[in-house]
Parts: sequence; structure tokens; C-alpha cells
Amino acid sequence: MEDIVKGLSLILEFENIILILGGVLIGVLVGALPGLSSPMAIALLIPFTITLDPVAAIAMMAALYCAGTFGGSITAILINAPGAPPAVATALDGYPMAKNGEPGRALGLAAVSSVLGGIFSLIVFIFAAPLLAQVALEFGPQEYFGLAIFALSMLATMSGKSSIRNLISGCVGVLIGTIGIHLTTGVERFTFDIPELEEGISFVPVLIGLFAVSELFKQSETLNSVVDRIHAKALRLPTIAELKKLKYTILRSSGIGTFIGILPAEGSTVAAIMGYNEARRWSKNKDQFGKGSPEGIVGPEAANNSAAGGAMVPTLALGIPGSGSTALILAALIMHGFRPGPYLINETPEFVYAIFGAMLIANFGFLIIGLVGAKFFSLVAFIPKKLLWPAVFIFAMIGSYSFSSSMFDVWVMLTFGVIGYFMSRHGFSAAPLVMGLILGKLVEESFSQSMIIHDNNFFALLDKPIVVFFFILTFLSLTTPLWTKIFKTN
Amino acid sequence: MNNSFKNLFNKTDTIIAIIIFAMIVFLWNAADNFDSVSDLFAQNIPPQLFPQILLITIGLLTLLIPFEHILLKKSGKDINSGRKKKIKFATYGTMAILLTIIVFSEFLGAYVTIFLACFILPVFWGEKNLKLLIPYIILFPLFIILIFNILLGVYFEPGILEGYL
Repeated sequence: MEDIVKGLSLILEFENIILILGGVLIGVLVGALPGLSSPMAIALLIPFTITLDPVAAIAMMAALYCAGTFGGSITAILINAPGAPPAVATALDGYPMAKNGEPGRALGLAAVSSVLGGIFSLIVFIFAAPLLAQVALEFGPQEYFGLAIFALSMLATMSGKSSIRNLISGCVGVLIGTIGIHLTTGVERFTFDIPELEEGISFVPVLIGLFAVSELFKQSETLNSVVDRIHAKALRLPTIAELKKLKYTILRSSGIGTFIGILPAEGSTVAAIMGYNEARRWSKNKDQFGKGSPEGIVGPEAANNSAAGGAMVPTLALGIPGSGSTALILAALIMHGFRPGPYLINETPEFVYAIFGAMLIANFGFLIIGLVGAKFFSLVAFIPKKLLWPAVFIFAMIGSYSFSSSMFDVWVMLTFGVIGYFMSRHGFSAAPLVMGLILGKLVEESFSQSMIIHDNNFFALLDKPIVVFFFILTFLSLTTPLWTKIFKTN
Repeated sequence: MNNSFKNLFNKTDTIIAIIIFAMIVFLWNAADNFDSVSDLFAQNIPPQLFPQILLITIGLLTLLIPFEHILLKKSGKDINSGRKKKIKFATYGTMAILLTIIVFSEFLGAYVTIFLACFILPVFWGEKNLKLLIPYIILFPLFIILIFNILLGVYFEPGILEGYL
């Protein structure tokens, strides 16, 4: 209890509240702008938060993450162009409701269900994270190796076209993590006599290149696209009676979203689609879906926002990212000198509770910002791309350079921007690469330590029941498409 | 080669697989040439072991890429959907402009580079609305300099403006 009070008092400092609200504002803005995304904004924000207090920096990013998910639904509802992938399912009923003359109601339903979903997942987070961390305290290198392999295998099921390409991206990310001096032997690996590579490739320019610069190249293909907008005067909150009707949908979707979020690598997009499907499956008015059904809005919205809280559980408790955005928050934690995982929760619980507080404030923050500024946020989607993207490039350049005042990092950013563009064109997602890059050190360290402990006998790992459990989960996650097919056939 | 055999392979993906294999061979060779350390020092885990395990894994997965389109088609996905359209001139041009900006940024310095990026990119992309463009070119860089250089204290290389600032 004392830790909770300490954590909340940390976050309630004036400066931190301002930063959280700043994060919410940026989150809603980038969420509302098609093409810009929360991971991109977090990647661009990381270098500028490095001088901030770690609590303030992570709180700001966590707030941005929560709000970005909601921001995407504004443009999904008003212009049928989801600002972020998790809002794709919201557009299915949100836009028809807006077209039927109720844009404010659609936005209100989305905002309130997002807040409720977010709070639900935070309650789970506050109980589950310390419990999970307690269990993880018993983990040795072997168990961590099993867990990291399971997390990497989950990349196969991450959103994207192809599981195989996701896995390749993940492995390439881990491989990039091996660049630099090998910690055990001091041998230079893949440095090709470039002195800047001796310390390895820094996360920041890679993240900025993959998320911001590659998106800039993609956007350069659609500079002249025109969208129709539905005018929304204000956001209209749902009545208590309306919420009562929707309570089971919100609760179910929040549960689904939180669970999906907790699974390593599974993010808000999968949660939103599942939330929508389940809302439709349980609905008494299935025929209304696609025509502006309230359940079709609250289902995906509660799910995608609860996935954000759920994804923080493995991120903070195990050091395994629950989604693309939390992978970036994990990178930020590492840059601030933390080693995410059970020790973080057990040794600095107030820090974790502070992040919980920040996310809680963020949830109410975007409700208020949504209430006040729905009209404004529906306008931001009309900022000309030809002016918006040069600005993103400048932020990307300054962000990459300022992190270690090195032009080499700017080159890394541009290189990964080009790589990311061609990867995306050929069906390789950037998020698995980032997760692989962040998990890389953990995978190699735990692998090496396990091999040393077991005298290079890999099969001795199978004596550990937890390792076997993770290996079974790995097998199941890799063969999910096969099982799904068998079940469907039967 | 008959048609059914040809249809097994996706042409673009086969080229991608060949490129990945070439990279694997190159990196495998680079890993083989890491400085050698005694087994005792490396505790029987030589520095090239882990990267080479990864290269093998990537190689095995890459073997599936040329045929993956068949599996994806069955699940209703089209791997070619994102690349059916040719890459536009605007995209190549954007890449070239960014490259040029970064090449000259060290010489020009941060201030001029920011102004230049705000001018060149919109103009190259065909922004003709001067009422928007002129205030943007002037005000946005000033805003960036104010926020990052003056308020946040990010060091901006003066470049050619050294001596004037």
C-alpha cells in the first residue's frame, strides 16, 4: 500500500501531470493523423526524454501510448480512415453511425468504452504484474531463454501478412543486436572496421528509421489523396441507460483485450478485431453490424484500449514487450538505466505504480481532451501531407542526431528508413524486427548462460519444467495456423 | 519448365530469397572471420555461435518464402497486394532528397538544413499553395529552433553559419 501511495505521489507532481497531459495530447494527435502512429511518436520522443526524470519520461510515453489508441478512432469514425491500425474495426460501425447523423454519439461511445477498457486492464495490471514478477523472480537463465524463445515465436502471430516473414524480421532484429563487441569475449562482431559499430547499433535511430522515415516514403506515394469528412460539433457521452445495455460487451471486450495484450507480441489491433468479432457473435442485433451498431463501436474500442494496459504487464514484469509500442517503452526504460523485469517491480515498486497512475490519468485525460477537442482533432487529419511529412523528417533527424550527437546515427536512421520501406512493400513488418532487436541481448545472454550451466548440453534444458512449458507454448504458437485449420475442417 | 512448376514459385519472392541467402553467406563468412578466442576463455560458446544459429534459422525460414504465396492464397491473403503498383518517382525522389540533405547537412549545419528540408520536400511533392508554403518555410523552422535549440538545449551544428551566430 505504501508503494502505491509513493508511486501515485510521484506521478501527481505538477510537472509530471503536465507531461502526461502533453503525452495524451500528442497521442490523440498522432492517433488521429492517418500515417502517424503511437510507435512512431514514441520512437521520435525517446531521444528528447532522455534528459527527463525516468518516471516523467516513461509516464509521458505510457500516456501517449494509451491516448494514441483512442486517437485513431476519431478519424476512423469521422473520415473512415483509421488513424492507427487498432481503430480499423471501429470504422466498420463508427463511420456508418457518423454517416447516419450521429458522429458525436459514435465518438462518445468510443471514448467512454476506451476509458472503461483502459481502467479494466489497469486493474488487472496492478494485480497481475507484481504476481507475475514474483513468479519470474524464480527464473534462472534457462527459464528466461525459454520465455524469450516463446516471445519470439509469438512474433509469428503478430499482425502482418505473413508469419514466416514476421519470424525472419524478428531473427534479423536479434542478429542486429549482436553487432558490436561481444560482452563475454570482447571480440568485435559484424563491425567491418567501422568504429561507430563497436558499441553496437543504437536503438533510437533504428526505431525512428523503421517507424517514421519508412512511413514517410510510403506516404510519398499517396500525397494527393483526398478524404471526405463528417462534421462533428462535439463528442456526446452515452447515457447511463445506454451503457447498461452495453455493459456486457464492454466487459467481455475488456477481458479479451487485456488477455491479448498480456500475450507477448500481440497488440491492440488483434485485440480490436477479436473484440469486434465477439461483440457481433454475442449480439442480439447481428443485422445492425456494419450499419452503425453501438456494440460494433464499443467492442473493438474497449478491447484495443484494454490491450494497451495488458501489454504493460509482461513488459514491466518480465521485460518481454507485449506489443510494438511497449517494445519502444522497453527500449526507453533500458536507455534510462533500468533493467525491465521482475527486479524492477520488486526493487522499485513505486516506479511501476507511478506508470500505472500515469496510464490512469491518461485514460481520463483523453476523455476530457476528446470532449473538448473532438472537432479540432477531426480537422488535424486535413493537415496537408506535403507539409506534415517534412516536419516528421525534421523531428526524425533531430531525434536521431541529438541522442548521441552523431551523424552516424542519422545515417543509420536513413538506412533503416529505406530498409523498412522495402520490407513493408514485400510483407515484412517492422515491429517484429524491433522486438527482436530489443529481446536480442536477453536471448543471447540467457542462451550462453544456460549452455555454460549445462556444459553445452542443450537437451539438459528439458530437465527444467518451466522451460519445457515455454517450449510447448512455443510449439503451439508456431503451429497455430495448422491447429486452426484442423479445427475448422472438423 | 512446365507451368505448374513455375506457379510453385513467386518470382519476386524468389529474388528476395536469393538476396537474403547472399546476405547470409556474406554474414556467415564474416562470422567465421571473427577474432578467435580460446575455448576456455569463451567458455565453449565462441562469439560466432549465436549469430550463426540465427543465420541458420533465417536461412531455413527463407527457404519457405518462394512458396509462401500458395499458403497465403489459401487463407485469402495476397502477398503481392502491397507491391503490385510500381514504386513512384516521388518515392525515389524523396529518398534521393533525404540522402542529399543528410550528405550536405554536416557542411550546411542544422539551421540551414532545417530550412532547406522545409522548402525542398513540399516543393518537390508539388505544394503550390504559397499562402501555406511561405509561412510554413519561415515559421516551422523557427518553431523547431525555438523548441529544441533554445528551450530543450539540443546542440545544433552551426555549419556555414559559424561566425554569424
